[in-house]
Amino acid sequence: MIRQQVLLTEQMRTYAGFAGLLIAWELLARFAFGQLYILSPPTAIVMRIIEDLPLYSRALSATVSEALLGFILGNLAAIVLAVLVVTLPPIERLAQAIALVVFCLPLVATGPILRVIYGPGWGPQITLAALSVYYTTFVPLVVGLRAVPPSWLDLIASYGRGRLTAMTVVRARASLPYLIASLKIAAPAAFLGAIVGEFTGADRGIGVLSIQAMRSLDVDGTWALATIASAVAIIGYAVVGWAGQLLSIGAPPSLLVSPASKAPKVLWKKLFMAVAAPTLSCVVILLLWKISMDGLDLSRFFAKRPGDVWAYLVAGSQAAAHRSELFAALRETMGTTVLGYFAGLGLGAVLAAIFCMLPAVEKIASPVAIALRSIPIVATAPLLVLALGRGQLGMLGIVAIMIFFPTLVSCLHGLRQTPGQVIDYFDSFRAPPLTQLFLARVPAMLPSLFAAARMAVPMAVLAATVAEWLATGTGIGNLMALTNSTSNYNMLWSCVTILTLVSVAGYALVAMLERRVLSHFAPEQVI
Amino acid sequence: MTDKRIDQTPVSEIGPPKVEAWAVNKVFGYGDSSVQAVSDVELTLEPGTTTALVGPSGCGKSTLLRMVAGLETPTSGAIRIGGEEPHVVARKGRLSVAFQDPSLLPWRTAASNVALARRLAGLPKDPEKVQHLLSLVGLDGFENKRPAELSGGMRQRCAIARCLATDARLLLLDEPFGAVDEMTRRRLNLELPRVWEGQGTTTLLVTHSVTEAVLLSDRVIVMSHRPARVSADIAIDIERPRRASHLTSPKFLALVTQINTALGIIDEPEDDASRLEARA
Repeated sequence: MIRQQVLLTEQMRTYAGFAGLLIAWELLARFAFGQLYILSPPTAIVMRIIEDLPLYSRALSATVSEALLGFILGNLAAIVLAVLVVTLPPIERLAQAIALVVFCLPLVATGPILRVIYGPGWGPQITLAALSVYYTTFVPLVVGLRAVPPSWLDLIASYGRGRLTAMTVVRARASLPYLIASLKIAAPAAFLGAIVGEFTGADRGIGVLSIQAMRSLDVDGTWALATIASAVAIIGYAVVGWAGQLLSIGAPPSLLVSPASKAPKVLWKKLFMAVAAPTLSCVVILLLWKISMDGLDLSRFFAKRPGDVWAYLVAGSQAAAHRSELFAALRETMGTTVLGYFAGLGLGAVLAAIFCMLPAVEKIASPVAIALRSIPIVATAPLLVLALGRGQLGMLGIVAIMIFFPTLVSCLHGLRQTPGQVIDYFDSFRAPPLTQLFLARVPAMLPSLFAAARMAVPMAVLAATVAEWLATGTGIGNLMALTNSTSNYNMLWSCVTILTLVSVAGYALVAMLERRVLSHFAPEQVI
Repeated sequence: MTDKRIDQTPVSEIGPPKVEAWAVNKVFGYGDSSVQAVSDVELTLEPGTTTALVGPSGCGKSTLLRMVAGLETPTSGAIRIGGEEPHVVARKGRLSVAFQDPSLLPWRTAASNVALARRLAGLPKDPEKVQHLLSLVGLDGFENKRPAELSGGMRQRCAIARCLATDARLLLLDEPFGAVDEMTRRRLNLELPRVWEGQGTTTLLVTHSVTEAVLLSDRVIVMSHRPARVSADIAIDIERPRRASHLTSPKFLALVTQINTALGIIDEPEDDASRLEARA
């Protein structure tokens, strides 16, 4: 009874939190920002949705279908790849490298390229939806398939059974919590991918309507569409979570930690891993790129090969001019992106720490944060452009907000991982809350913070390029938009290549820092 | 599941095997960081006997057992089970290992964890046998409980039942009662051997507990600390079945003292003990 009452009041607090938020929003919109074409009051948004329901529901059904197909395809690919990597360890590094490069492709530019390859239709949206889910499923799934007590594998081996049996009898079931947790993240991500695909030239869908609403300064419409997108994303997240609960699959201990692979002990193997493996991965990726373009017999006019990009940026007579144009745009983008990246990370971590110090606030804010985390921020970019303006500030805001929510949720999860005994120990000294925070909780939070920081690198690039593409008219995002409309596919492919390289390098940099820091604070996470 | 087992002779028609180890060495790691876990071990387990390996923690006794189970391969030397290599015997489902951690799959019920052993060994399903084994280890009425709903001792007994489900004639028990409290452990020590004694099995038991070693075995092998070598080989001639009353018999106590001395836990046998030993 008492337990039920406690649950009830907790729920009521959450509802009260949401209600308070809505009322504040309504008042702000009505009285403070009413004339600024920024904020629509919730009542106006609801009215708009009801008014345009037939239009919105047609668009929504298109976007949801694309997202659903992409969700299925992307996750299937991730599952197949993860199972392969775990059963055939030698291919792991290569598979990881390819997976990472595909994850780092700037979706904004991939969209138009896919558009010319596929022609009109749903192809690009579905592909982008698949691309935006598969990495966040692949990485945790590899961790989950591996996170099996060695004695279970010994049991299999003691009956003379091999990897295949270990996979079917033990690993597949043991990794289910990881799979469900990543599918939860994948549901909104697929929706986001589909919308980004629509931004770059589809004929219908929520993304198309959003851009139209933004361009015509239709504030209520933009808000209505962002609300619909957010609601669908949250519903997707909740449906997968509910399915997991129905199957009584618990939560995994920690998500998105880097899949540990055994570091080699012999010197020549170390050297091989440091030099040869990345080189091999590069060669294979370039080959895959060339072979897939050649194999599909795509026109060299829009489907550029590695050689074309090399000629355009390095070998050709105009290469220097092309390079300086591209890198000038890149510099412009990177300044704001890096700033937004750190702002989002810092804000997420600090707010998580504050929530941790004020449990009463956390109870209200945490569910709100989890709900907002599943909003595809990029899908609401048109809204943020309206709110923050078309300048660098708007772009900074989009990047920061995009990274802020996942970081906040991840850090809150990490802070909760502090072992109870450690807290008891600090309590036994009546240690002040701040001491406890810095000595006990923050170290426990670090693995989650770094996991978020790593995954945030490509997200930051995506957010920045979307903002530039849609609004600011600066940087490499704008350059890609321009080259797309002028059919300068050499430049477009070069931008994609360079941006992918930048993302991979950023990711590797964070991963390196992660190893350094975690080998000190959480050695069990680094193998 | 298709069965590609090499040998289809029913396991029940095969007697307990003889286990032989010749000059077995095991080195972990490379170069400077290498560790010699097992050094020049010569060992013969006679068919149908129970042998206990005791020794200080980290002395390599578990490594030796894992090599017999085919889970590790010796760096040099050889191990044969009834003349065959361990991994071959394992593939035929003719050896059974009980691990220190009961290693039950948490999503399977007690009964389906036991049944899993038969599936892994490529044997046909046999629900009656599973039921029989579960009641033998005192888990009647818990067949459909998952490991999380069982106590530590129950989980351990379930693991023993699983170990017996394939009628393997070679049981390799790696600290099977290590994670159980002292009282439960003593009870399991007395109850469980009856379950497998009747079947005619060769058993190798790794344990920290000298009392447990004496209580369960026909022979106790004492191993020295790193690298693991055989430092004493003591026959236990106490009649079976062993009972709680044996625990306080002079012969039992003398053997315990002898083993403790070999382990270096007791410096010199005290007068009483050595007299008891002489009488034994």
